[in-house]
Amino acid sequence: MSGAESVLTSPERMAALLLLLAVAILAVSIVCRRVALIRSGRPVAAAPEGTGGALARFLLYVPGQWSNIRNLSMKDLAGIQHLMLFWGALFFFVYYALFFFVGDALGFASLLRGSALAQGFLGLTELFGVLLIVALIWGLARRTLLKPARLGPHFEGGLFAAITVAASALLICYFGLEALRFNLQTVSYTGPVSGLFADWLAALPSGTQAQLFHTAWWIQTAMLACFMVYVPYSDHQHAIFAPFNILASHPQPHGRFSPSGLQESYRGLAGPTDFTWKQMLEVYGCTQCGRCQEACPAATAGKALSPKKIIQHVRGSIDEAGKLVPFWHKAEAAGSVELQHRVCDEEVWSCTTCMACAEACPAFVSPLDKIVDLRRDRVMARSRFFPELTNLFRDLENFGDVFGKGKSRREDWTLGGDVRVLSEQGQADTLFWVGCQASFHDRHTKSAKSVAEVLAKGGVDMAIMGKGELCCGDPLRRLGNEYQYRNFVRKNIENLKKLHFKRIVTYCPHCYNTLKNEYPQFGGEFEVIHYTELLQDLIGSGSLKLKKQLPAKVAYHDPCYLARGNNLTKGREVLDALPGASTLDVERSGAKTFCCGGGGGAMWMRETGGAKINELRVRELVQDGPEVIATSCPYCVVMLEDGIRSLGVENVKCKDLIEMVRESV
Amino acid sequence: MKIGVLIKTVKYVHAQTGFDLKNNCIDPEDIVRMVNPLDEVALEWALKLKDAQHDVKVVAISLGGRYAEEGLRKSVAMGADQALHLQWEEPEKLDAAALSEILAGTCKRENFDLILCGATAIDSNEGLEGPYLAERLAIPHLSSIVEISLIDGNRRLKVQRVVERGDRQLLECTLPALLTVQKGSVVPRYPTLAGFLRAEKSVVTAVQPESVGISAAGLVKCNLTETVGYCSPKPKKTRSVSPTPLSAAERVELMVNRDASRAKEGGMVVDGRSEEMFAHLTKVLEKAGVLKR
Repeated sequence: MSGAESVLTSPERMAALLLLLAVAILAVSIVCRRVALIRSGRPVAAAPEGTGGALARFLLYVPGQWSNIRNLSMKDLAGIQHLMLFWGALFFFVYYALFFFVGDALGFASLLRGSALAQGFLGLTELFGVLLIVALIWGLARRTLLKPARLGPHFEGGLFAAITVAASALLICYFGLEALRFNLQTVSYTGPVSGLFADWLAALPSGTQAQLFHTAWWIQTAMLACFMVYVPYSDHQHAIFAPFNILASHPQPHGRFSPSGLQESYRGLAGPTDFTWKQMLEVYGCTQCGRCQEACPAATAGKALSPKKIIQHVRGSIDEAGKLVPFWHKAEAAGSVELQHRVCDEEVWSCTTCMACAEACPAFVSPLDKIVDLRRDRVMARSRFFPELTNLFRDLENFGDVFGKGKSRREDWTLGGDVRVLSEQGQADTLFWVGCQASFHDRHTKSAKSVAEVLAKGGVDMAIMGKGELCCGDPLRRLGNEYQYRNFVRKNIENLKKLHFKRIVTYCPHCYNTLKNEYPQFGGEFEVIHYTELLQDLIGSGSLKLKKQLPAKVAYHDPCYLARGNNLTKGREVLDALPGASTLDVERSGAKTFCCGGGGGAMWMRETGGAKINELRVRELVQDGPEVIATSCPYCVVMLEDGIRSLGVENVKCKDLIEMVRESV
Repeated sequence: MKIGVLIKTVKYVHAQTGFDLKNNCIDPEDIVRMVNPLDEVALEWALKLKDAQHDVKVVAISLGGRYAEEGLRKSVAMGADQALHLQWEEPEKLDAAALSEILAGTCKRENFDLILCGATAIDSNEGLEGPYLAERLAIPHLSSIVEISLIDGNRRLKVQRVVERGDRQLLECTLPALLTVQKGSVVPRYPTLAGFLRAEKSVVTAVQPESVGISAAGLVKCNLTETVGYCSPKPKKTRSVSPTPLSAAERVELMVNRDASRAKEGGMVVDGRSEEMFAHLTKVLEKAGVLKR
């Protein structure tokens, strides 16, 4: 008789088999309970997507580990570590399922180990075993010595040390066992690492070697059993759920927020059934890598909010409801099922909805989505928010704009200019959606005039809606007031459908995002473009000639709702086309741009502690000594201007892109 | 316990909105209507009393044309149990004495334990409705209330009213009573989703003056005063900072300093620790020849 059967006794194998079966049943039952929780969630209106797209994404992000490769930088090499862990763990999963469980415990080892294929696989597994040990020690070092901020504030070094020790013990047992198999002549080959082990162990008498085999084999069995219980309970469950989440995550523009149910029975987030199944799948797929925390402007400024913590809170509450809190988390995770007691006001309200967290997540988890639901919970179910927001909501309800000026003043900015108001009988090629900021705010009415002027020069047949225009609803939705948001959207869509136009061009990126991405959710399908897109077209086609030289060094700040929300960075191209202006590189730009601090209703709310986000951003922008900070969002203009002033930066001006274009035309 | 709250839907005159530049008049479509803010405070107090104990019913009452219903729906959204709409087109043509006659008829029928309303309405600025109504119902009237609590098993009322410079007068009185409230530290609640949806669906009960025994002819007789004219405010001297190439922050700073011209006059501000300031001042005075050594 050859194979491990010759060393292991039958009762021994039977005992191990029973132990592992029992543990496996426990592990599967935990996973099943989580799956049941996920299935109890609200349904999601699925976006149509072919299986091909989903499969391609799955292959790219799961075996391809594209998130980890994409995010590699000299500052952050952890992606390599994860790559080693992922492939190592995959190989060992196959090894233990096949060679240990089926081979050793069930007794098919001699059958399995015979082929050249098996020999090749075992050799590769050993190489990955070495990589795994390196990755584990690397991970331990990150949690105990290097301590990168994104893994904080709870580094869980102790837990990770225990995992490292246990996994290393498992791997050493593995190498030892493979070596002993050769020495005891149950197999005829060794791998590259077990060969070394075999040489060292060969000195021992064969009786001792057999004894050693039994000991190591049982240590391995025990360790495996421990891991099988630990993984489905712990954060490492992401290995089980994240692949499914990636499969289910049809990429949409980050700026498109999901609608929430509006029934009288709406009770906020009182239990797991108030989340959608996708949200719960995301929460279980969270790896707690903290990339969201690193990207979050509020967390960077030292405010209470951390997107990672929000996901942990949500998970804690779901686990609590499903009685699935692991015992080593009991102390910190203990708390109510209701999230309103777990998450404090400052956390919920310091979010600027800049979408950096959703963009940064390697596992397609959106903390923003949960934050907005938490806001809805506070506003619509509990009416618990800062009193200054009550004023904003009332202004919006009574006057239809964020400034509380009233619709009859909406056209005031056109006085003295030549802007046509589109009547129901009239027709226009382009409808200029001005937005509250450009209609009322002293700083931005100039920009509205500039847009009208420049478009007229470019030969665009343009008209505005005038009194029929209301707030697009962006602040209401970002602040969680979905009910009033829907009222605004309904009225706006009604008014828009009465008019005859081909496309809408907006000034404000927030209006752009809402009209373009969110109005279709409520039956408002329009062609919406941002003025930077239109400008680029006009300049490209030669209809608009930029003549005047504007010699200035310009740092362009990408607005989140264009660059990240909608992958639109045309503003930069317009800037490049400006004669004389030289564009500087900005540390964070494009989809990775850093928030100005004014979005998501933050404009109307108190500071929630920590540093000011706009000052952080201005510091970043003025690094290379620009003369002008340009941007194309009214919120950004105000916030950056404020930042420049409060920091006392001299010789830098904040300009709206359209102002610069108008000067140059 | 039944609490009645008088709600007035006012034209928000302060909004300076609704001015049609071509026709030089207010476009009726542009008028912004809202619940009188002090009435909202009164409603908030009623709802606070309701939250504190069981079996309290809050009834919102409004008198006026069809616009009055808007305010009543907002009251229901905030949490009022019932809404009564006393239908009377053009209430502007009657004075407070006459209007209180209709209100009194309804309040008698409803048999309220407590009636709350705002001290004044921001559009008419009369503050007469409450007192007149209390008189007609022959119940105590307490004005400028900023704190309300029920004592003695809901039989007595304990209130605070503002007097001079933040002083408060503590009063007790029996029920039923009528209170006109001032804006204290109370912030009217913002409706929840359930509230908004309830307001959308709930029925506002329409009450005709005839049904409480009041005829149109009788009402006109109740009018004690007559509005004979209306004039717009006299133009006021305003202090503004001009010209305006200054930044907003600089303008605000100048406004705070009261006088725009002062900044141009020059002068010097000596700042720092007292020893430094003294040393600096000495130097300046010596240089100017005022101080001689």
